[in-house]
Amino acid sequence: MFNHNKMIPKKLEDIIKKVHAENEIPTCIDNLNQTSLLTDEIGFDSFNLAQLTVEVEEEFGIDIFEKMIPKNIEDIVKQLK
Amino acid sequence: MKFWIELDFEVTYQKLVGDINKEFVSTSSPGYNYFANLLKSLLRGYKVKSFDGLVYYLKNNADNLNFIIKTSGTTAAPKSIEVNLKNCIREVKYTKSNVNKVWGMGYPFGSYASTQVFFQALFNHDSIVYISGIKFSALGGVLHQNKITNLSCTPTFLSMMTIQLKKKYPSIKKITTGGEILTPNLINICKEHYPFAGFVNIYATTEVGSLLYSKNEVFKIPDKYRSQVKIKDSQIWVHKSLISQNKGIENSWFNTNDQVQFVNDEEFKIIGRTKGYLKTGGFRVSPKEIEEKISVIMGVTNVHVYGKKNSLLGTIICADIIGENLSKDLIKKNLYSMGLDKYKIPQIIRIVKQFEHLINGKKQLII
Repeated sequence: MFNHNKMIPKKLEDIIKKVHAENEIPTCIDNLNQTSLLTDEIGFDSFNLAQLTVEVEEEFGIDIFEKMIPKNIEDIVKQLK
Repeated sequence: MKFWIELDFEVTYQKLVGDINKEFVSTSSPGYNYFANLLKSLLRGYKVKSFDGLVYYLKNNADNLNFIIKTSGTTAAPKSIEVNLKNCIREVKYTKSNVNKVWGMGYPFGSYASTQVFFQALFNHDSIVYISGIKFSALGGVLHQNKITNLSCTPTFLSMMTIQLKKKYPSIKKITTGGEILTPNLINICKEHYPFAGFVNIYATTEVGSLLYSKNEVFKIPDKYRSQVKIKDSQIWVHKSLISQNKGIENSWFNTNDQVQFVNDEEFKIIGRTKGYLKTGGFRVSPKEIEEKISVIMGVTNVHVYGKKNSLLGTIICADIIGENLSKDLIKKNLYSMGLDKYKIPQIIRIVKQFEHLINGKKQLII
């Protein structure tokens, strides 16, 4: 289902881009990769991260903040596997 | 009869530190010590000459000394609330240590929680660094540079800050949280970055002040409050002797509307608010207020705002909306243009065809 190299699962990438677009966050995320930092680079604040948590949970059935505080996309991808 | 201190904290801080933008409140400031001594005198009921910028109406009965602070409240406009000084500082702890603490204040400036921390620091001659307005990515440096020993913030703030940290911060000895549910998971994660920190989780309300303390998410009523705090119908009730106002008192008791769930005979978790309020990221939100705002947007015919459990914010605000020619963007833009605070804008918005009303009155979503 996932490409296990440093690619971001397509569905996850779509969710991140959706939350980013809906909240009109003024950062460029054209070159997202697994090391992209959720707050510093992508620009998510706590409310954006909460929305991301819900969207990811609805798609993958996993609460990404339940067991850890994800700092970058890789921290989310690890939990999806 | 009540007596008032007209206390504008912004003015007060300006007087104390000289510059509101300066983060560090120095204990060496003459104004700082003057203010501490002034408040102590007030509580003893002495008459004290007015401090420049502050207006005092003094009488000898310090029990009835009140002040007003402005909070975000449940509407978009800041709400002035009446606080009894004695209640506000009732739980101030005096420490015998000669080492002064440095508080990292993560609560918004002028909020009730920040006011309580201010008094705690003031009465112990500790210092405060205001970190609530600083970018999370810069906070690691601020913690280190100022050798912060005590953090005071909501669990959401703590999570957001900790996301950014790459090092350990051994200087932090205590983390005080409140306003939201503190999960065991967050405590465990924090132990990695603040290895020597103990946790204090506080249950406080604007009307009562700080009331219950815990090292985790489970509280119990302390012996000293056995006759003044009770759980009735799974809600926390407080006796009027602990309240500074008469509003909302029923037969000598005040209902906080905070709902609890018992984990054993004595201990309980606070699971949320009843009476139509949601808590998100430490903010209290009225779904009804948001529904009213959304309902006036052109094209909206019906709306249901509700909370959904969220591991980061405690509760996330969701809105299901029925109408024509609507989009999430349109709704959000309209809400922003109405001046609604960001925390009141639903993070999850769904445009739906209809709601289904159940027997218990709750609405169920049909997409």
